Amino acid sequence: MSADALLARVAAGDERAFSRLCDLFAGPVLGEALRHLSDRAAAEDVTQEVFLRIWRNAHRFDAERGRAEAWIATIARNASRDALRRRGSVPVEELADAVDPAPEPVDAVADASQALQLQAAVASLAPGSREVIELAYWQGLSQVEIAERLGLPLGTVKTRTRRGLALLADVLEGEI
Amino acid sequence: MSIDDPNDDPALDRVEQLLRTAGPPPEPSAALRARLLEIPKQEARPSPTAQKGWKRFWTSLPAWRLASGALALAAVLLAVVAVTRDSGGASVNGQQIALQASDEYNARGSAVSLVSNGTRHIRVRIDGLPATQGSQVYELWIAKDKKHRVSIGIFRPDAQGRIDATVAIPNLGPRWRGLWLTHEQGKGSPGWSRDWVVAGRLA
Repeated sequence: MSADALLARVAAGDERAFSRLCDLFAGPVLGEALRHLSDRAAAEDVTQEVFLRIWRNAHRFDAERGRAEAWIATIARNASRDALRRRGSVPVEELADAVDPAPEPVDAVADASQALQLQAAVASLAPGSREVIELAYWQGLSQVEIAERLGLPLGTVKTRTRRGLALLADVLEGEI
Repeated sequence: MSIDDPNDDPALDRVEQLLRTAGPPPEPSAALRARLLEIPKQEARPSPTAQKGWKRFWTSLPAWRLASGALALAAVLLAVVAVTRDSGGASVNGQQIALQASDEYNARGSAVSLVSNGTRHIRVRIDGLPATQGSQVYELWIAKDKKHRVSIGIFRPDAQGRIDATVAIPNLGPRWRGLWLTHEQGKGSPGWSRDWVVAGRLA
């Protein structure tokens, strides 16, 4: 199920869809927060805030105006920046600067975090393609090494790699 | 890795480049995952997508807030009544919470935190509130800071401009000590407004 479809189900209160969304996006959102904050505890707080916003605002997501990955990426980036500002000189008690946490979808497309979107897209690939993509690009294995490790013909590894890349390009189309 | 048959598709080349740049995401801890999965249990169901006609009001955010607030209030009142009628096995203690009023409002009030059967509640009494118009409501929040907050109830004052209510406080952790009452315009935003009325701090 695509992230767009998952968000639609979350908007209807589907907790299993929310759990699946956590599976796909918790790591990428945490990574986005860590890029801004460099503090694991603070980044985990931001991640919780991001998913709280997702749960509360999923009904505002409009798939016709942008992909779920981009929408979530923008929430993550905004929440991270909010946390940074809080850590700075903005008084915690001040409500005056409180802002609506949910971005408009059009902003989501424009401000999307590429890394987060890509990582989430990889997580949503079919297991066969995901495995070879992760081994190839994140563990640095050659196609021959992947074939040996997985016990697959080299041609299968190449096919899965190319298919995975094509799917990722499709998911990220217009966002990168 | 470099694919030994270079992609002739620039889009695939771009994805390869991004993959190398992005790297793998960090692994969320089990504790973080547990915190995330608690969110639907702590929060009421999000409002469904907009519907047409008269049903729209009943599925709108103000209506949802009213309903969830009323349910929470009813549950707490039942609990308080139960404790009042039979204190066997229950523990109740009260702790006054000072409320600071916003300059924008002429409101005044007090709050008392209670623990009943291990669950924290808060009773707020606020006077001098302007009447709400249309879909406007007053909303009570528990906050860790100005960005992390959970709505614990929405209210409309009575004819005398008073809110007198007892609500449960979710157990979110020791850092969730801020107590805010805000004036919400009911325009559909689930966030809180900047229009705060009174604020306090839980012990």
